[in-house]
Amino acid sequence: MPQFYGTELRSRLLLGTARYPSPAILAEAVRRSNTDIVTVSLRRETAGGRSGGAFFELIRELGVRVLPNTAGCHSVSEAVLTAKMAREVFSTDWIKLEVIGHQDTLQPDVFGLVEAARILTGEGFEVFPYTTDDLVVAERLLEAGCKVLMPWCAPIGSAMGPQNVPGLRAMRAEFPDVPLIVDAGIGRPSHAATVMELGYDAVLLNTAVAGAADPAGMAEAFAKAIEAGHTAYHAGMLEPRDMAVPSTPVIGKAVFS
Amino acid sequence: MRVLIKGAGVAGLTAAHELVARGAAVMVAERTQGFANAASWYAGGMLAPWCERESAEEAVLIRGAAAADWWEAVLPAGSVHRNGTLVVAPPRDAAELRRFASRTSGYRSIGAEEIGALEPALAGRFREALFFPEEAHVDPRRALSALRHGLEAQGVVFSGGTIDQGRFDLTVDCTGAARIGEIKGLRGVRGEMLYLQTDEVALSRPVRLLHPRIPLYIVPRGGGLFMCGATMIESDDAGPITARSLMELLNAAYVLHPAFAEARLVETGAGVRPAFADNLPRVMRQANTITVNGLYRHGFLLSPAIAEEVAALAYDVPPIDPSPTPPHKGEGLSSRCDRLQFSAVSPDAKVTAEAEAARPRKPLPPAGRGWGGANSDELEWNEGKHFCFSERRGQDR
Repeated sequence: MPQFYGTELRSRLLLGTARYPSPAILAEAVRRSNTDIVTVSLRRETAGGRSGGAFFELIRELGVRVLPNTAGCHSVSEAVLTAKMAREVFSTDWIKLEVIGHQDTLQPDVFGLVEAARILTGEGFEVFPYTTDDLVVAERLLEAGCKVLMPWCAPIGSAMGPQNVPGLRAMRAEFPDVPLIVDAGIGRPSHAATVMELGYDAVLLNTAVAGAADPAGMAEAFAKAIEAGHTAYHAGMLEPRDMAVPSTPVIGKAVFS
Repeated sequence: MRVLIKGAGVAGLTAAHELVARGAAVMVAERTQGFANAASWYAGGMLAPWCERESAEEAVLIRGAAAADWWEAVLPAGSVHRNGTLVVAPPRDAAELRRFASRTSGYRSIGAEEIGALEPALAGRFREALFFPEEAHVDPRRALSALRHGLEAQGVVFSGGTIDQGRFDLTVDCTGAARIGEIKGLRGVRGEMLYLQTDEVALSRPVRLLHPRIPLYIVPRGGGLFMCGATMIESDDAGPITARSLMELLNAAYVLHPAFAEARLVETGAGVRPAFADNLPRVMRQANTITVNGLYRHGFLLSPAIAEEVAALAYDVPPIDPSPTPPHKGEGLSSRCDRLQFSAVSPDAKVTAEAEAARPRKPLPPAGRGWGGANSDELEWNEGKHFCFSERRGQDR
């Protein structure tokens, strides 16, 4: 099973907690997906974490590990401050680090990301950086002390699915021993299965589940697709061929050509 | 029956109205003079059960569908505007419109021509929209004031002072967000709003602008005044609007119509919506207290239905005598829960009148304390989906 910073998990699905119709439906989605980890935004969902007490309590009551995130932070100092606040609120060194570089596409500011990662790992945080599929940036994040990488596969909330499969494949090949989690851009279970078939360790979702007509049902569908893609990766898939290849012997048939 | 209603927001005033209508002698206790502390003062006042169904449970649609009739019957003529809701999205977010349509009913998909006919100010600005013709809206501030004046005219006394609860047969607690931290599962969802004033745009009905991250509605209040709202933030902080929220709301208003950029920003505000985990309200009778809470963003939409349930709970079963009486062991009221009545009576009879009378009245915990407070098991409602907002606990006869 996947290990993040020495913690072994049962599930390869990480679930975001924003924009569900109600916390009750979020709880049901967590239950149906069997996820081990939920991410919580301190800034976006809770007015800077100053007073989201009741919501945080509800998140704690889900009984799963919390990965707080710095969603909505646009600068290094903002992200570092939010991470420290998250450590207080959730008593965890884990932080999903987001430094947003573009207001509209929510593309990560990879320069700020590396800088913030360096600061936070220096202060004992275990950083899950939300990054692009750029290999050089990934290398810099590992140098900065990150032991997990979270590349996007498309912009946050876009539901476009993997836009650069060769890029994701290259990342897997380049960092065979680093846990890789696809974060952002997944729209449907087949997208999640696709990235898991590439050998990724886990998938993080929010909008694709929260925005579904039946979020709990969709969470379960994703969990199954993720497990299917992961099992398929290890079972060894056929490579595509140009010609049909019969699966039964042709000896004894009238025509051999 | 002498009834003390605590809380003078939309839940308290509608409950007072229904109880007075059934002959109760009602006094309303308010924490502060006026409405500025009530979440309903910052409400949109939209009676939009079909639109709300986008994210709300079916009970909100079913119970909210009659709200416009209730308000029309109670408020002065012309207070309820029954001319529908318009839902639009910028071309790049057209997918949001289809998503909204797939979650809702009671609408008509309309094109640019009809958009221009309904709201001339928006002509040429949007190619497609959803029109919900059955929906309505009220000005929540006028509605609250009118309700209050109507109650005062019928002899209801509003008091900000200390009140001896023993003088009353029944207390109805409608204090909303003030009970966060005391009632298990009750949380705050902060909403920020603003008022814009301009003569350059005219709208006749609420317009919702869909956006994947920052959905906005604008409700015309007449006289060039527009209410823009509202953020949804998991917080019980009622402090002033943040710069980010202000920027996002104004930006969305500007997208709806650029003339809003020249409007005067005449007011900003923030309120805390009390909500339970399923975002549905609860009505519970426990001895001589009926507690109403969790109206979330549906105060004006659901309070008429809630008020009727309060009145039913008040009069269906006579209130327990305040003097201590031993409960009947093992004989609870059978659960009734049907789609018309929408009320449930819990068989759980562990709370007795005696226990209720002896229950210490604790001060409010500090804001943001969470729902694991010392007396958080004092009230524990049924979980799960239901159309019943009310239940009764601790009844022993």
